[in-house]
Amino acid sequence: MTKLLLQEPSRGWKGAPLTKLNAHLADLLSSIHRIGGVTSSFVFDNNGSRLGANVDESANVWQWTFRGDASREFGSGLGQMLAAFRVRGVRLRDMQLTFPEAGLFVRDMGNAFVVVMCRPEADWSLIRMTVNVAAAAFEADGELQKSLAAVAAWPSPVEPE
Amino acid sequence: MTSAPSEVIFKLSDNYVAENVQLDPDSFRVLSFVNGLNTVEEISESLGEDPVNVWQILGALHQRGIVEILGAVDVVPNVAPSGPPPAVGEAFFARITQELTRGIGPLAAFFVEDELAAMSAKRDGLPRERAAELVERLSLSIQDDAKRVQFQQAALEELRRLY
Repeated sequence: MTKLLLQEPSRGWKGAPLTKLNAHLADLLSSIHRIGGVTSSFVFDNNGSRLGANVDESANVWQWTFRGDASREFGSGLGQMLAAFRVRGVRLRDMQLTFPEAGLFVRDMGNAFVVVMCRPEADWSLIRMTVNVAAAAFEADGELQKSLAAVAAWPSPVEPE
Repeated sequence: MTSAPSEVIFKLSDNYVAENVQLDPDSFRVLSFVNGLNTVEEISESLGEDPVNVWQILGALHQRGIVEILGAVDVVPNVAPSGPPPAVGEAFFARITQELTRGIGPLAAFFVEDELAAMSAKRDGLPRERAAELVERLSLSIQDDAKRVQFQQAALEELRRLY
């Protein structure tokens, strides 16, 4: 069973922008979880703040180390990695990391990025294409991208009110 | 014995010697179905009882020497037939080619054959597990991002139909 976590109201996210963000998050994360082998997925803004997640509650302990604060750590790290390439004029569209116990797929979505965790034997072609399709609407929404850019510019992660 | 307990068959013991056999009502009811033919599961169904309860009663009767285990029914496992993995059908190729044509034009069919050759695969007998790989390779031939997404979206629907 998976647990969908969406953005809560905060100083940065409220009203119509929050509603729009959560609608996109629900759509994106639910689409990704239709892929066999996917265990969890997260969306972060470019500041590394977690916007939403879909977590497999039955996943093993290793997976659970990415819950809560731990997911902010790797979100921040991955965000910095993407930013480092961006600063050098290279737009890293996606990257794929394979570990003995799991696979990690990271896809840039403009002012946010999605991280998909899966079993090592998952179908990577299916993951890449599904994320590409699911992310298209997220990337193309100009208003959402503006809101994301505005919130990510805040000096520290935005905490729920 | 490797069978599930519910497949075991009991019979009345040939060696039981007793002048008076005292049984409680539940044990009597279970014993009345022990005939060397009925499995524990069948006895449970006939009595409308939980197989675990029936097994406990039979276990106690067995300990007293009243019944003995005859054997077990061979359970035929539900094993998928061995053979080559499921292959992708012609309908899949037809749809993929049609969608690819929207992205790159009338040369789509040639691209499909080219990519199959690059994958060292054949149209006839392409394993289902390699279908997504083929679709992804084809999608990379579409330069326009929006058209590529459209192709992938249509292809993903076809891929879901394979399972």
